[in-house]
Amino acid sequence: MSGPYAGFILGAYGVTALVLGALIIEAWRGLRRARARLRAAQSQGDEG
Amino acid sequence: MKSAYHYANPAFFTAWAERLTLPLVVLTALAFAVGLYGALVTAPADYQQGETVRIMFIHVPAAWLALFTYGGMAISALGTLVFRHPMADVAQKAAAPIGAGFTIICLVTGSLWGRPMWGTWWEFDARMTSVLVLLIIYLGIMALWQAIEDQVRAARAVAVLTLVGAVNLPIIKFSVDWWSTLHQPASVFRMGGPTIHKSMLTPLLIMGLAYLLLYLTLLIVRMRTELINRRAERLELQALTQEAGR
Repeated sequence: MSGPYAGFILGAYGVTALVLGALIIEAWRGLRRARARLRAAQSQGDEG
Repeated sequence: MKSAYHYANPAFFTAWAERLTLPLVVLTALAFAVGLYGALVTAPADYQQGETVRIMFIHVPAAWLALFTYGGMAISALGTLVFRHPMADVAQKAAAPIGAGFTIICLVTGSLWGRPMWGTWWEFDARMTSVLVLLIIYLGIMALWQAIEDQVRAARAVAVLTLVGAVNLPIIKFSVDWWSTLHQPASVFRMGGPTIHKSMLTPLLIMGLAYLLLYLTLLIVRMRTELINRRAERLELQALTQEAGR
């Protein structure tokens, strides 16, 4: 992409990719953490 | 015929949410692939904006979803306060960061479009200011969830704040009609139909669909996470109680 405004266009798509990427990664990591927490809580209950 | 309450029951929700996640991920990826191809390759440059029109294909759908997400939260808030539905506050809590993300994208990409087009990064006109207020409300809602330890009380406080903030939605939508603003009036959702040529309208609508599918995917994943965390918390509390009872 060339032209005088290429930086603005690339910047806009870059920021969008960053924010959406952060939302996706945060959601998936949150789910993995929650599952690990539930597994730990269930095994704690089994031991008790 | 099963009622909506059956499908929104936490156990039933978890079952169908797990089945729906992968198909939604695939559909979202496809929609973004097609939409971005249209936005960056097939859509022509605008006769006035030139290539910077390509920013519109990520800015406009972000704005739509920023408002749509808040609208969904407002409906959930009614579900919390009026119907005391157990899934209502789960949906509200899950949606807020997603809506904040879309609003940030809307504001930043709008600024990056405005600098070359209007000669300014920002103006406190009615549209831009009301969208900034929307972001502040989203952040306030997220902070309120963290500030109140009792999640039942937090849900009610957040629901009230969400409903009060909902007055901002028509202000955002009609700001360009009610006041003299730098931001241009609506080009798609307006009386008389869209004013954009289909060579640009089609990729714009596909990007809108891609953003909507992403929102649904993230919402379902975050709601599943919240339900799992609540279940883990109950088990941890049970274990602590049993431990204390010995």
